[in-house]
Amino acid sequence: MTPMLELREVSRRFERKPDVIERFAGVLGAKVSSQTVHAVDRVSFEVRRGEVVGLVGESGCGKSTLGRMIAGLLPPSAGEIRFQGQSSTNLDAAARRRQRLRLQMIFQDPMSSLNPRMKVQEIIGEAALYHRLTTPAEMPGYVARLLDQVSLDPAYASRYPHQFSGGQRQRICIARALAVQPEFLVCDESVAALDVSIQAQVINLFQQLRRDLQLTYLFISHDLGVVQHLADRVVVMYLGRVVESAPTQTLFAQPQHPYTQALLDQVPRLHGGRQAFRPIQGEIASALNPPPGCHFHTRCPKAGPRCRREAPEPVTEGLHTVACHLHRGGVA
Amino acid sequence: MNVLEVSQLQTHFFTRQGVVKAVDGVDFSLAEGQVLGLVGESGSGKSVTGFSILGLVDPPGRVVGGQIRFRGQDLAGCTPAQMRAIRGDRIAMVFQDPLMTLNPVLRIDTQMIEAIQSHHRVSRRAALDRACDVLTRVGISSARERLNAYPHQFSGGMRQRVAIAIALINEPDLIIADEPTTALDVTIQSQILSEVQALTRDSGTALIWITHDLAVVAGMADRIAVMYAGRIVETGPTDEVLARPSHPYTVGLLGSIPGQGRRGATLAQIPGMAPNMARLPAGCAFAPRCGRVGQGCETAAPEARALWAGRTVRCHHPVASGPGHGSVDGGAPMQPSVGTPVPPAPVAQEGGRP
Repeated sequence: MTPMLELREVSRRFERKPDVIERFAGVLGAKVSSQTVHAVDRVSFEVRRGEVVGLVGESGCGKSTLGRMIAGLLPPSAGEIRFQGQSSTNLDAAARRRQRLRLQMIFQDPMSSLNPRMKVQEIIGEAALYHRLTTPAEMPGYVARLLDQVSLDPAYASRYPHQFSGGQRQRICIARALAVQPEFLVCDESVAALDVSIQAQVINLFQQLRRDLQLTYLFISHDLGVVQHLADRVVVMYLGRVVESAPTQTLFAQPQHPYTQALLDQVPRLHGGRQAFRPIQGEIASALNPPPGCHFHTRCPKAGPRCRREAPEPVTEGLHTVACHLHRGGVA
Repeated sequence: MNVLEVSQLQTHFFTRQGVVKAVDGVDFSLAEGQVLGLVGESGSGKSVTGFSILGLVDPPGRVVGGQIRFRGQDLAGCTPAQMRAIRGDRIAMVFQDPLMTLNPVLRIDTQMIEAIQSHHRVSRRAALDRACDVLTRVGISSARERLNAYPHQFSGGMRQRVAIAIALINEPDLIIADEPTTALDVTIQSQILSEVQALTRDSGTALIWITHDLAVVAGMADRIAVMYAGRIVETGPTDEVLARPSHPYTVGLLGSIPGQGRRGATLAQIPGMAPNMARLPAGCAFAPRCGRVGQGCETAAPEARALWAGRTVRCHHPVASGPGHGSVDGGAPMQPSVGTPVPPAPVAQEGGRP
């Protein structure tokens, strides 16, 4: 069976071109270098139908960039993203549009992703109308069904986004994504901005929709608790590269990569009394100037000379993939 | 002796929509070296409580009642000049966004020296040494060189460290930290938590840690106070409250946190949403969302009553989970350990409700 989504060596670079003054300085003989950020560096993984994959990492690790590439908002610089066996690069415009419809994205901040001058009905119904999933006459009923699906009162359809609370706005964003009958949702920090009690409501909604509509999710989050709760499989990124991926239970019980181990160690825990925090030293390195070899070696307590020289290749064993020289008795 | 004693603090905002009772009768006290976790969701009044202590509430808000005794001195009655002398010297605050604390056009050393010299007559050189010293203590390497940098040259985590260093610089008796790690990554958060832990342990500084994240205070606070709609609904020693929560809101909050129970199971969510603070319900503010609503909840706001071991709860029908108690429900209220004597829970109107 072909996976729902397949990433093969996907990379994304952002280049800052020299501005006018720098070009002028270059003409005069000064040394001008263009800066390149390797936001995502040769990432490969797949998502099977009906699965929830959690993508975790610190800010700046490239997880959002990856999410945007999967949702088709950004083209990859290299590599291939195949959705249901087809790569979007060799499709014609109409087929690409159809493909994009099956894959929707939900963002972190619901306020900045809803047009404040449109009514909820227009926000949710617009895309469905454009793609002829409904007719203008049937649109109110179509929107009402969607609002009901996300547990909002259908009477709210004629209100504006500012009349809602944060949790309700996020439900509107979810209803809008569902309006085009997608099969795959990319959720980029979709519950991060919500209060704990509201967050629980939205997480429960995601679970319920998954059961009702057979949805597949890529759930991007920095909150390991949320990912542990929702995901079937977890992919851990560090500075543009995947360092480890495994089924959720395996990853949380037996993390193999030193970065994953450190990350799990530092999650504040509710129970167990006073916690002695044993932080990883230092901060995530700059993506503008990533360290050579393994990106994590600057903070890794176990790093050896080999880690500083060559980047480890991901090694897959069953369902567990680890990119570390030390893995399975290797020498650093 | 207690560093801080807050009793019946009330801070109201007089808006066009009506009076918003952001803080409505908050009591707590804090001993030397103690860490209090003030937990609540947005709009619960936890930040306004912090601002009220420091006299930082701006119009249309005003502290309208209660006492804030800091080392015996009532802060609510202080003149602005007296308040300025205390602020930044005896009581310091760390905000969520370090860019709000730091002036973007001044170098770090200028800002740190200013923080010292506005309270103490010391030489610039001595102040600089002190600044260097605290920067090293919050884990900034090569502090000498970093002093010459501007705030924008630091990363978010580093800026927050600088903000904490400025708070520490005059060795205050009390630090109020308002969600200082919320905007930071887990790894940076844990670095800062471990440093703050060491600092309070070594210097005996009392700390109020305001947060919405129960898990953050679980690992470091001695006591927890849970706020809802301007009131502290439950307070007690951290492990006690977490292990045996008594207020239905605390129970719901703990159940809402993902990643502790069975994977994929439905989270125990609290229905509904936080109330409109300008139009609070007549009785208990949590009643519309509460699963244990019973007699009296919708008519009378519950008073704080003591449970055991320094715990108080504001609920007519607390969750029964006392050590050795079959039920706290209906039992005679014990003597409260803090604050003024509390009247027994109002007897619900016999037959008052249809």
